[in-house]
Amino acid sequence: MFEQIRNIFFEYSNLVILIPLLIAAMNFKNYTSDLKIIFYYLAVATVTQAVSFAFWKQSVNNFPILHLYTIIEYLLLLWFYSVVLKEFIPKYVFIVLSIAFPIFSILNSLYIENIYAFNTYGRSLEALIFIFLSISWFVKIVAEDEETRLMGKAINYINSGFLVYFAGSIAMFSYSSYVAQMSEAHRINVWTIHTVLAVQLYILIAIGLWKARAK
Amino acid sequence: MESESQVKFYFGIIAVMLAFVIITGGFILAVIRYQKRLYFKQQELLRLDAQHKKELLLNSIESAETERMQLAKDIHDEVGSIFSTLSLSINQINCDDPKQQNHLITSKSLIQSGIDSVRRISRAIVPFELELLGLEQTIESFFDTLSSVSAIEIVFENTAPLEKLNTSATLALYRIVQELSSNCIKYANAKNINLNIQSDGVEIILCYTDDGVGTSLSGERVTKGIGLKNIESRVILMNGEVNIISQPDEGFICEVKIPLKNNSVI
Repeated sequence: MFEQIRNIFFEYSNLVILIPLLIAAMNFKNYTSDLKIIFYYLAVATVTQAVSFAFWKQSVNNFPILHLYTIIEYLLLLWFYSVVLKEFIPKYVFIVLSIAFPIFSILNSLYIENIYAFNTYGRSLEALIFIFLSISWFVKIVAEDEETRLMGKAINYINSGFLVYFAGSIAMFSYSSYVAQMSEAHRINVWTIHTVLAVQLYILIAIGLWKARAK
Repeated sequence: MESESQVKFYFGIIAVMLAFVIITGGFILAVIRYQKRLYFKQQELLRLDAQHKKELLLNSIESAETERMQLAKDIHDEVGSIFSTLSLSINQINCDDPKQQNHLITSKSLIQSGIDSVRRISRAIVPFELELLGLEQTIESFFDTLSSVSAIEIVFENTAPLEKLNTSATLALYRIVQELSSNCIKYANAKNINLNIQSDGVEIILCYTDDGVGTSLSGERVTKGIGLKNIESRVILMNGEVNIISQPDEGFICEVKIPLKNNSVI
C-alpha cells in the first residue's frame, strides 16, 4: 500500500511544476523582473523534467541532462538572487559566482566526475551557494527592519521554498554515490524525500506567484 | 542484500535530510515571528502617533473655542454693558432745544446700533443659541441672517436627529456649516446654497452644495485653504470622512459623514 502510494507520487509529482508555471505564464506581464526570472527558471525546469522523463522511459541515461541543467538552473537562480539582493551583496560577488561555478561545473563534468553519473560536487556546491543566498535574503529583511509583513511578499515564499529544498537535499546530493549503492526500495525512499522537497518548492513558488498576481 | 552499515547509512541520510528541513523550517518560522512582532510594534507606534496627533488637534480646537467664547463674552458683557449704561444715561437727559434734541435722537440711534453690533458680533463668534435652540434652529437662524445680507437663496433640510449629538459634535457641525457658507460668500459668487442633513441610523450625512464658481481639485494632494483644513480636522476628530467635489464653474459639493455608532459624538 505504502509502496503503491509512493510510486504514484513519485511518478506524478513532476506535474506539480505546471501549477506555478501556468500562474507565471498567465501573469507574466504584471510581474517585476525578479519574478520574471522565476518564470524562466520554471520553464527550463519543466522542459528538462519532460526530456529527462522521456529518456528514463526509453531507458536512456539522463545524467548528462542533469549536468547541463545544473549550470542553467544555477545561472538563472543566481540572476534571481542578484536582483533581490542587489543592495545587500556587492555586485562583484555575483560576477565571480556567475563565472566560477560554471567553469568548475564544466571541468567537473569533463574531468572529475562521470557525465553519466550524478554530479555530486556540482549539485552540492550549488546547494551550498543557494543556502547561503537564501539565508542572506532573510538576514537582509531582518537587518533592514522592513515594515511589511514577511509572509505577505511573494519573494519570501519563493526564498523559503529554495532554502528548505537545498538544505533538505544537500545531504542526499553529497552522498549520492552511497545512495546509488542502496537497495532499490531504500534508494526510492531517499529520492521520494527529495521529490517531496521539490513539490514543497513548487507549491511555495506557486503561492508566491499567486500573491504577486493578486496585488 | 544490503550490509548493516548500508542500512545505517540509509537511516542516517534520511535523518540528516529531515534534520536540515526542520532546522531551516525553524529558522524561517523564527524570522517570520520576529517580523510579525516588528510589524505589530510599528503598527502600535503608528496608532499611538495618530492618537497623539488627534489629541493635539482636539486641544488646539478646544482652546480656540475657549478663546472665542471668552472674546464673545468680553465683548457682550463689557462693551455691551457700557452701551447699555450709556443708553440709560442718555435717556436721563432732558433737553428742550430742538437742535440739541436732534443730536440726542442721533446719539440714541447710534447707541442702539452699537448694542445691535455687539450682539451680532458676539453671536457670530459664539452661537449662544446653540445650547438653547439646538443645531437645526441655529443653522436656520444663521441662514436667515445670511440671506438678509446677501442675495443668496438658501434651502436647508434636516431629517437627522441632531438633538442626540453632544455639545462638541453640535458645535463642530455648526462650524462646518459656517465655514462652508462663509467660503461661499467670500469666493464662490453663488446664487443658491443647498444644505441637506440626514441620517440612516448608522451615520449623519451632511451634504452641502452651491452653484458658485467652484474650484479646481485636480491632483491627489490639493493645497487646501485653512477653512477646508479646519473642516477636515473637525471631521477627523469625530472619526468621520469628508468628500469634496468641485470643478471650475461647476459649483462646490461637500459631503461630510459622521458615524454614530462606537463614536463619541452622542
